Amino acid sequence: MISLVMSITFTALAALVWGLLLGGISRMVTARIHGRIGPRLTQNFIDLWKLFRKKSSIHHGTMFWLAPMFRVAGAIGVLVLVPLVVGNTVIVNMSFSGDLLLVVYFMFFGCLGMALGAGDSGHPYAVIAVSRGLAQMSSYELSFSAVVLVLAAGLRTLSIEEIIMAQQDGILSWNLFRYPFATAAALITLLPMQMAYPFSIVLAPQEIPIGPPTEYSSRFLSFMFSGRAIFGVAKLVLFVNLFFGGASSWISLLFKTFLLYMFPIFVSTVFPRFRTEQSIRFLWFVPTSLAAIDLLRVMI
Amino acid sequence: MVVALAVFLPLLGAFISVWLSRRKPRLSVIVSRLFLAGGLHSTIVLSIKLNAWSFSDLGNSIILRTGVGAPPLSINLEATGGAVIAAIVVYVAAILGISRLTSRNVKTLPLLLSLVTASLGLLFATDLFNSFVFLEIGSIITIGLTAACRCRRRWEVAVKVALVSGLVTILYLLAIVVIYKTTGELRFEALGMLHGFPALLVSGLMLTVIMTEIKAFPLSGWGLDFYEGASPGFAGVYSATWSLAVLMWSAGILPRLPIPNLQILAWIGAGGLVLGQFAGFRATSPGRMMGYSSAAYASILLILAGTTTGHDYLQLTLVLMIFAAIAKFTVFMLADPENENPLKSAAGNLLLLPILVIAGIPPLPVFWAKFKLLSILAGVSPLMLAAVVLGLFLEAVYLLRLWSKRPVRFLKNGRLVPAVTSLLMAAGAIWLTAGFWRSLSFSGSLLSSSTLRILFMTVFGAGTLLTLPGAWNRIKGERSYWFWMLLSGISLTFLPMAGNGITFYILWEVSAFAAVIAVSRGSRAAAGTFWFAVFAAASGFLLLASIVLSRSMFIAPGIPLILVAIAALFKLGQMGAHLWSVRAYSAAPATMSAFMAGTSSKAAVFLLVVAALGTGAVAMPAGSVLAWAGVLTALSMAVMAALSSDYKKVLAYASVSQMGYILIGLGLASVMGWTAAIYHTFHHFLFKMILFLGAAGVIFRTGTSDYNRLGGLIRRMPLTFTFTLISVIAFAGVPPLAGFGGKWFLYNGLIETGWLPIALIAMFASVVAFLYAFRLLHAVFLGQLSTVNARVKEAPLALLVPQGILTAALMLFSFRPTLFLEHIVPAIESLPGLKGVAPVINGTIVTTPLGNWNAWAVGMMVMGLFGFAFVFYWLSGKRPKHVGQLDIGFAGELPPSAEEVHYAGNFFKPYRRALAFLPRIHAGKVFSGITEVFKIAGDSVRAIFTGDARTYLAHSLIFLVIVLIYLRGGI
Amino acid sequence: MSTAFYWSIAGTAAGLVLVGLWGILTRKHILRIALAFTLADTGVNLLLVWSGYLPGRTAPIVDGTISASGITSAVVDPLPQAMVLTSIVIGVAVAALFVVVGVLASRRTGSADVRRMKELRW
Repeated sequence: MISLVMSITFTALAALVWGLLLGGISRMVTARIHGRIGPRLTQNFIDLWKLFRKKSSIHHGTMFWLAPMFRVAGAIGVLVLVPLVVGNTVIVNMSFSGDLLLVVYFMFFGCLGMALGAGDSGHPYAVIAVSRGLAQMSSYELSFSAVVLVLAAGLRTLSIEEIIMAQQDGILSWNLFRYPFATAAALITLLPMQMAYPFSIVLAPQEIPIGPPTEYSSRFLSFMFSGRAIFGVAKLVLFVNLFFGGASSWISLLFKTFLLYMFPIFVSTVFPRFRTEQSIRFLWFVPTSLAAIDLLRVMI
Repeated sequence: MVVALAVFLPLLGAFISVWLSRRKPRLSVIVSRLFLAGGLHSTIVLSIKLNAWSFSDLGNSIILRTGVGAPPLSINLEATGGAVIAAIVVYVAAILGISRLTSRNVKTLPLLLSLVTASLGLLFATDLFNSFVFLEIGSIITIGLTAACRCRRRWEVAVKVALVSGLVTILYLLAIVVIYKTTGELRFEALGMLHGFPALLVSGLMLTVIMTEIKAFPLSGWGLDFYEGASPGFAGVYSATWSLAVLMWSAGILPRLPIPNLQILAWIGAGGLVLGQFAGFRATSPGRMMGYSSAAYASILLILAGTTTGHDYLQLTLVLMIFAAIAKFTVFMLADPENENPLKSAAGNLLLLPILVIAGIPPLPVFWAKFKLLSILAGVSPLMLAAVVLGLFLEAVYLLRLWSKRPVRFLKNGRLVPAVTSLLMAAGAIWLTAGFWRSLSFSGSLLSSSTLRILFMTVFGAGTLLTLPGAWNRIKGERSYWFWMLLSGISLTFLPMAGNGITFYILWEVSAFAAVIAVSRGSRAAAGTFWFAVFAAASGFLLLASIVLSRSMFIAPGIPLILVAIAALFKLGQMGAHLWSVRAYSAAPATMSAFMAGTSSKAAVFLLVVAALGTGAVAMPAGSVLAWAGVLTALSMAVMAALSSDYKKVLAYASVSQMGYILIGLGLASVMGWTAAIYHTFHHFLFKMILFLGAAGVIFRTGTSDYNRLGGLIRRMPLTFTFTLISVIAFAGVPPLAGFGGKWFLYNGLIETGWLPIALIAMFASVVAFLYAFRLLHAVFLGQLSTVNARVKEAPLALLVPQGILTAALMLFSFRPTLFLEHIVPAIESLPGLKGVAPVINGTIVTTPLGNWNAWAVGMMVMGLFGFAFVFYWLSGKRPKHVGQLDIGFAGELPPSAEEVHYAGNFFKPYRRALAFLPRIHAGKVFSGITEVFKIAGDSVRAIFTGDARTYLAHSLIFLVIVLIYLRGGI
Repeated sequence: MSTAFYWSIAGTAAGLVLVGLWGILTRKHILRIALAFTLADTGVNLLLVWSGYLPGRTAPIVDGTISASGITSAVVDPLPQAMVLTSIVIGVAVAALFVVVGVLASRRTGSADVRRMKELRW
């Protein structure tokens, strides 16, 4: 029990650090593409600390209060349900308590909590953002579900552990090569998951200030930030596990997640934003069609 | 002597009242009543003498000799058991109808009394000429009484009745001439002595005469006009006196007709029933509807004459005709003559019973007869059975439409009549149900697994008990409905105990129609009730057909099974049939919606389970068809739920959508699929009940279910919000709460079977569920509190306590699903014929061939993390300050004034836009399309009733010619 | 009475019935229909009497010409005659009522044309 708590604490902290670092990198990379110098690598740490230490804070009600906790619990929960490094018996966390379906559905936990908090804030913009976000989420989940089905039916398992183990026979056994279309579809869905352009309709600053967390400030916002950072890492780890052969060591985990993280950033900096219904339709049809190709292959 | 008294006391009364009514009108009414009471007494004495009430020796008789000799030399009256019971009905109707009929014109009193004598004469007549005399007396009085009312169209009706009875006289006398010339006899037995051409001629003539007299389609034109145009008071008395007598007399003649193959009568009846009821489907005036219903009963009489004999025939005709007569009499008595559209203002509550009696809903008396008739027909010809079932269904539809016009006002002093007749009908129901008791069975043998039986009984029983307290909190405009809800719930609770089809059917129908009544008592129920009733009737008739086809157990493969499956889908309110479910759920009183969506929808699941198991090979006719139906429902209804902005409507769509998952699970026909289905059935019960009860509380306190007028209620109703939140998280399938399990088993089953496209759509649908789940929470409880609702209170305890109990159960099974699964999985595994492997339960871990799920661990982890975050926040700094709902940052934009900005309507507008490429298929339009086809069919049928009296005469003559040609075997 | 006459009565009666039915179906004036109905009724009554006729017998009146002992073989069947009386009476009553109703109906509708009395239909 103690070891489990310690392992979870370690994982969560590591993910927080890695997530904030990746965030810092992304800000730097974006700035360089834009031709700016950009902030420091540690800027996100500084921001987080500043928010956390702020004395004054407001709240709008119980759900507003609880939403950051939902966010943090949801993010760490997803992270600890996913196996991190193949063969590492020290840090296994809760990855044997559930399979891919559980992880996919548990990913909604944090989102739901944040949405509820946004709702309780009473700010119309926050709720507009939630309405957009939910609409978009339901759209990319269509193709992501297809991807999950491809993996589950193709490898005859839902266990993430076994999905990783099935990819250990060299790089060509990665699902990236086994199911290229499904992987492509998954990578497209990664964009809205990471709120990257052209799918950044939730945090669209020109339209609705910053979306759901509009009313959040100080410590609440620092929780939100941490949650988002951890959640981002959890998603990357999940993708690495599903398509890129998992990670055989901590280095390879960091490396793979870093590379994967760069993908949305590069796409994000060069694309403008979709309108909401365009985004929804794109996500319904394009990635789903890609995944459907592999789904058909799996069925036949 | 008693017979003579029974027949002629009213005649004596008639003579006296002629004299008295001019001088002492009031006294004359009293005296007439006394004479009628005397006659009634005599008939009751007769009935006891004949032991008629056992309904088993209806052939017993007492003969009254009027001449010097014994038959055939003299005219005799013969009181048989059946005729005596009909006579009692005639008397009761006359006594009850007298005040209504004579309230304006006391001079009609002698006519009424004479009509009773004529009716009794006809009931007791033994020979053809005697019958002729009574028939003519009856016709003359009918014309007279029609003309004596104050209705606008009385003359037109009178002319038509006169013309038709003129023609009947001629045809009947011709028949008498032929019979007498050939046999020298006029007793009914003479009909059997005919051979060759005379037999043919007499058959044709008598059949035409009888069908015209009993108003069987297609010779019913004049009868329809009569029922529509005559005063409701007279039409009512007529239907329970003279019309009943003519029907019973015809019932005596029909089997004696010298036709080689009497079954042709049944075919004429069945054809007439379908066509006539198609026409009736189009009727708008209540009187005309009753006319068409009358034609239906005439057709049924023909069917009975063609397919049954002896004791069955006597019993069935008697039961059908007397109870239909009583019911029709009641309907007319409730009609208000002041009104141009008479029944609209009559008493709605009392109207329902007679209408259900006529429609043959169990356990009302007519049902038993119709059930027996259908059982017999199943052995005769499935085609005839189908025709009759369709006809009866169409009849039920327009009768229910008549009722759902929601009449509200009582007539002055109008309660005695319906009270007495309702008692009679109830007594009949009890009497006949007791008679058929032995055919019922409560062994529970339809579902072999006692675990599942107990599970379903728990759902039904607990659902009833938990909704019941809430039924006392009614909002404005709702009438008391707890009794009907309780009745529906009790029948449901016994449903799993049913041991055979008929028992199941009765419980099913009682539950369904009790629910219809309960829904109709909502404040805005008019929209929902009619389609609910129609689908309930449709699923009932399908079930009935399958029961009689498979000989009492409805679980035979082939056609019965398909019928059962469709019945269950109708009941579930699946896509297509969601027309009723969504309307009814949103129109019903709020607690009733909880009962229906949470509890009674599970009856259809039970039916499907039973039906699937009963076929031996568990797969439903096509499991994949079922699964596709389920998944399309799940998706389309979820989208509809996301886009509607009415609290109850959203829950209704959501409920239908969730039932789709159960269908998929059952369609899989694997252990995994069924585990998913049963798991989801139980948990759907838990969280849908919580949701609807929560909605009931909100609607009870705020008086609205419109999203745009709600919002921010978390501040006023925190407990309701908490329960709703938990159940929303549960049904959205978000771990760690219970809804996830159902989805997990379902996808496991789908992937195991390889139904990936279905799995994909199901997954998508379950994500769309988030849309309406969040929108619901936000629009009602979050956002900004409207000033209108600033002072609402928390929901009443009667709603909160059941929600609390259900939530506790939900939490328990969320964290420890194995407590539930370790009973259910072995039970499902032991069911015969299910393929695939079962999930393995080991401690708190459930394992399938594909994956594993440790709900306890996940639950603890989430609680731990959540608790950690909470405590960490609590300890890490000062408490935040609470600010008002208008203190929000507008990012530099300053609203002109502080105003509420609750965003609830048109919530997923982009979604709607993105969906714009889809054609809009509206279920209402689909059904109005079907209705349109029915209407066109009805219109083309009823076009023959031109309203011109001579057309009606032509019908009779053409019918005569056709029958003669047919009987001759060609021209 | 000759056989030819015997059958010609039947023929006349049948003819009356047919003419009556034709009239009922084709006439529009309500009183003409009543008349046609009376014709047909008369025809039927005639047929009824005819049905009781037995060739070569006399009227069923017990007087000097026939003995009481041989009565059953000497007279025609008396029953139809009794019946026809009833039938005629009823026929008259129906016809009278018919005419009354017809007249009142035509007053109400302003026309004696039955085609105009079809407000109630379908």
